[in-house]
Amino acid sequence: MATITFDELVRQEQEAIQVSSAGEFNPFRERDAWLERLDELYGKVEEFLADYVKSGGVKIAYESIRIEEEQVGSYSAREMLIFVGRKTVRLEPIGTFLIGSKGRVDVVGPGGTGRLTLIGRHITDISQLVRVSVSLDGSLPSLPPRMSLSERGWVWKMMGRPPKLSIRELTKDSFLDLLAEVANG
Amino acid sequence: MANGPTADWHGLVEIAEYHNDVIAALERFFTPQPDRLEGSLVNQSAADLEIVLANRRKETDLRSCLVLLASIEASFRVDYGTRCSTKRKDPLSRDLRLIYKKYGLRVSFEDDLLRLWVHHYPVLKPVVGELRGAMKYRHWIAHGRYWQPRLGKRYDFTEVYVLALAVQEQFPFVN
Repeated sequence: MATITFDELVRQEQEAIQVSSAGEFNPFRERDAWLERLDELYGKVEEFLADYVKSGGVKIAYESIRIEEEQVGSYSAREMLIFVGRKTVRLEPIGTFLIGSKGRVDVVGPGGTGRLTLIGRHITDISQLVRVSVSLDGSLPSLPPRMSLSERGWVWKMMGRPPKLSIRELTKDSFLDLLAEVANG
Repeated sequence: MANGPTADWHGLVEIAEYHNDVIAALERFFTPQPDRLEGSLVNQSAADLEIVLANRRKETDLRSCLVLLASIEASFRVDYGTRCSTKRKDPLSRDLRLIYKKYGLRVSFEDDLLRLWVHHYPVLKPVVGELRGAMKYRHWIAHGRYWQPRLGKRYDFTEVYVLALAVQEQFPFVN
C-alpha cells in the first residue's frame, strides 16, 4: 500500500528543487554543469585531433547514451567516437556523482581502457581525493564545504589504473599517447 | 576471536595487481593470432574476438569488484574483533562490545557496524552512504545476478577501488 499520495510526492519534489535552487546543493544544476564540462572536454579532444581529422586519418562522431544516477535519475549524454582506420575508440561518460571526482569519462578501445577525470586543479595524487582526517580519540572535524561544479578550479586530468591511480595533466601529447595505447589492440 | 587478518586476506594493492594481471592475460590470449587460440575461439573474426574480449573484461571487472567489496567488509570485521578483544575505552569500542555480547561475530555489517560508525563519526556519513550503495552491487553479484539491480550509479573496478581507498584513508581502524 502506498504511504504517500501522488499529490504529496509531487509537492515534496517541487519543494526539494526549490530549496536546492535557493543556494543549496542542487543535483540537477550539478548534472547540467557536468554536461557542460563534458562538452568542453570534447572540444579539447577535437582540437588535439584537428590535424589528423583534416588529413582524413581520423574521423569523429557522437552518439547519445543514457546515464543513470540516483540523485537525478536517467539523463542523456553525448559519447564521442574516434575512428582511427579500423580501430574505434569511445569516450564514454560515466557520471558526475562519484567518489572524489566531479566526473569521469572512460576512453575505451580494443587495447584497453583509460580514464579522464574531472578534479580540482591542485590535485596531483589520489590520496588528496579520498582523505578526511578522523582522530582516534573520537573528536570530530567538521565536514569540508561541498564545492559546486559551477565554481572554478575543476579541470580534466588523466587517471591511471588501480593500484597507482596516478594523475597526469591532460595535454595533446598525453592524450595521443593514451589513444595509441587503447586503440592498439 | 581473531585479532587480525589471516594469511588468506588480500590487501587492496594485491587485489588490483591480480586484476591487472588477469586483464593483461586476457588481452594477450585474445590477440588475433589463431594458432594461439583454443576451442570455440578458433576461426572467429577479429571483430568477434574483440566482442568476446570486451565481455571477458566486463566479467573480470565485476568479479574483482566482489573481491574488493568483500575485502572492505573484512576490514570492518577485523577492526570489530580487535576492538572487542582489547577493551579499548573509546565510545565506539564500548558500543561495539555491547553489540558483541548480543551477536558475537554474527554481527550485521550494514545494520550494526556501519550504523555505529556513523553514529560515532558523523563526518564519515558520505563515505558510508557510498558504501551502502556499493553493497547493493555486492549483493547483486554475490547472489547470482538473477534480477535487474537498481543501483543508482554505475560501479566498476576503478570506482570501487577509489571507495576502498577512501575507507582505508578515512576510517581509524585499530587492526
